[in-house]
Amino acid sequence: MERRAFIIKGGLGLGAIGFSIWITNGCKSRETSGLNEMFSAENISLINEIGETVIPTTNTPGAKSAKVGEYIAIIVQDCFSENEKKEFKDTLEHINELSNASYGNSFMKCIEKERVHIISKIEEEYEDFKSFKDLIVSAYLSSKVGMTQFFNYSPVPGRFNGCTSIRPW
Amino acid sequence: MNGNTYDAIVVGTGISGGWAAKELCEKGLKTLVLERGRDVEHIKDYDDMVPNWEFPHRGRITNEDRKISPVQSGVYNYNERSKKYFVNDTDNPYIQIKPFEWARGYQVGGRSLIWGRQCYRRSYLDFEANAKDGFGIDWPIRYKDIEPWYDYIEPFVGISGSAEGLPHLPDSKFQPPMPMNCVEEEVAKRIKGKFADRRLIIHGRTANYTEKKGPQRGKCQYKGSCGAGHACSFGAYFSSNSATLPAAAQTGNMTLRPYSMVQEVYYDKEKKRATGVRVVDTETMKQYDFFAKVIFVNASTLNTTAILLNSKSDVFPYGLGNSSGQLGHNLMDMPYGMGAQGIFEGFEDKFAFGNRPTGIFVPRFRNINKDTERKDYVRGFTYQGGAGRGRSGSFGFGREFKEGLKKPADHWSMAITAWAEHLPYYENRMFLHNEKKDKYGMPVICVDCEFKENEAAMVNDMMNSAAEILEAGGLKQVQTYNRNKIPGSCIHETGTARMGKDPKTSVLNRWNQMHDVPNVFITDGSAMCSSGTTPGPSITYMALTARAVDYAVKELNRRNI
Repeated sequence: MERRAFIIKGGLGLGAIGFSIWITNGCKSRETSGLNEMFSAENISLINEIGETVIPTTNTPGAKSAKVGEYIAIIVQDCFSENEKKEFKDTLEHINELSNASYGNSFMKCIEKERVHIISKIEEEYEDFKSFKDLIVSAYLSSKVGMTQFFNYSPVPGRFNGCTSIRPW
Repeated sequence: MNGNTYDAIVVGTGISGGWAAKELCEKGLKTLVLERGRDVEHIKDYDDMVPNWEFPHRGRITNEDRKISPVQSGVYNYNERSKKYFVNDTDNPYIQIKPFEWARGYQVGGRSLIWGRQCYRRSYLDFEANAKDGFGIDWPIRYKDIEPWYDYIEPFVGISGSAEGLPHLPDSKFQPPMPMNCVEEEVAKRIKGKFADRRLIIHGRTANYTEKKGPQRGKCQYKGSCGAGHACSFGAYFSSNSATLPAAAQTGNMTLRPYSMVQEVYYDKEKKRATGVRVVDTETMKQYDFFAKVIFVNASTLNTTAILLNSKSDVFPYGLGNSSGQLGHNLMDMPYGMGAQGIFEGFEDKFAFGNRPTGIFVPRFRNINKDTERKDYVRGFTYQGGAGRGRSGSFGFGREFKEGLKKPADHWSMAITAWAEHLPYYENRMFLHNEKKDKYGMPVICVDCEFKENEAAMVNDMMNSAAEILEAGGLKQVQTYNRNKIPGSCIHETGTARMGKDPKTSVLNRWNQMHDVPNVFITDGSAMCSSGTTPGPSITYMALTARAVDYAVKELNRRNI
């Protein structure tokens, strides 16, 4: 798939510093999620809402029901390298930054149509969103919702069929 | 018999220790089985039935894991659930003179809880190789010596596979093979007859039951957990915990003592026999002595050798039974990770259901006879691999993106990866550090091991031959790869207390009995004279163990030991 060459790695310029304060100081001064040191409850809600825009509720539950935010917060804190952590936090910041720039509101306060627009723009312009999105997908697909409601769940297949017409997932 | 005296002592509860325990107990010997780690009870202590989403990191390795266990966390099947079966590297240090990945599992069952389960008999070629090309020393046994012992152990182990009648890859006593998928079957059919050296694709041979036998062991449920290093609640997967230790316990002759790290084997120079072992309780750090008429050391290659090197006396200043000076030398692993992959056009409407714990296998086809002789290297290699079909990528986000996550990949893909022989070189070795000790007071092991010219000479052939096979099978977009694995990462370390005909050049005789100390037997990987071309060494350790116990008990009864 062709992507536009216009890729912003460093930041959108506007308010980037302000947002890093929000994210680094924010989780210390505000109430933390109780899950970890890195993310506040608000951060986790934000990840869940971004997740829901990427993987919405359809005839199966979406990313928010799968609580991707809670899982991602743990993974970023416990498993990511310092660089990956920074990349993740920067992406979160940029989403809110773009939201503020476009609608004068945080992503949380935007309506669905606005959220879709923000994510389209981020996906188009911000290279690091790919790994952010991959993380949402992996969080969703590995959740109970993802494994048992989105996919067919066969914890004990009981047999091996190497040539079936039925898609196993 | 007082509280610390037994007929036999077995050091270690992994694949070979489990067999030593079972065979000794079944022959009526009161046997003390010592394990340095905690107990792991079959089924009761497993968590393979816990859904993945209930683990906080859903299987991922954390930064803390990498910090505490930099080596173990790099092992292929180390993950959030399996990590309890791997050691903590910080508490169990070793020194890598050259890069050497040493995977370890200190618990009842040892690495039999995390092994790869592939089982291939060695052939006449493997036992004759050293004599033929002069690398290492000649094996003191031939295929016919071990054949009845493979026959004896295999029905109990439970190996699924297909009989092929190949002299260079002898058949086991098989349970039915796990089926190939449609692409593997088709590729196998297409390559048949295409190669002058008769390359062929056969079913992988794996120690997973495909038939239910007895109350302990059920058949494979294809849930995919053993490949991830999770023990099997159905008992389909052979381990000491599921099979040999319960059999040993059933006799009433086994005393299993976990948290018991053997540091030394005692030697009596008047009797010219080993008398017992010194144990450090890894929970309390207290020392205990235990005594027996016969001792089987099955602590795994490097640790078995370390115990012997640490057992110094006037008679054996360089380690028990080390009059040859070979103890610790001739360390081998197996080079692996070179192969090829491609995509298959066809069967786009087909899928595989169930997670098969094995794949396909390509038997050795180099240096089998005059026609297949190579000028550039000796010995050979085999391939393991398989075909599969996953999901395709999805683009964008939202409803369509979400549905796209279910879309199957456009094509099946297939890959085969080589495992090769590592020649025995005297200078590839392990030894004990002069000063450094671990927290239990045991000298730290230093490993100095590398692959050399013969191993390097095979690399291109392993990649190119894999590509040829896949291309002959009709795969497209075939690409070769080399995973550049370091020694140790195959987890087939062997050779540091080798068998041999001559006590001057070997540690053990043809019965895995120490030349110097006739009541000490070693039947783990350290006894090997060569790594063998075909992987799956454990089945050979098991056969040698049963054979050695049979001999040891006969010798005890004859009052020779």
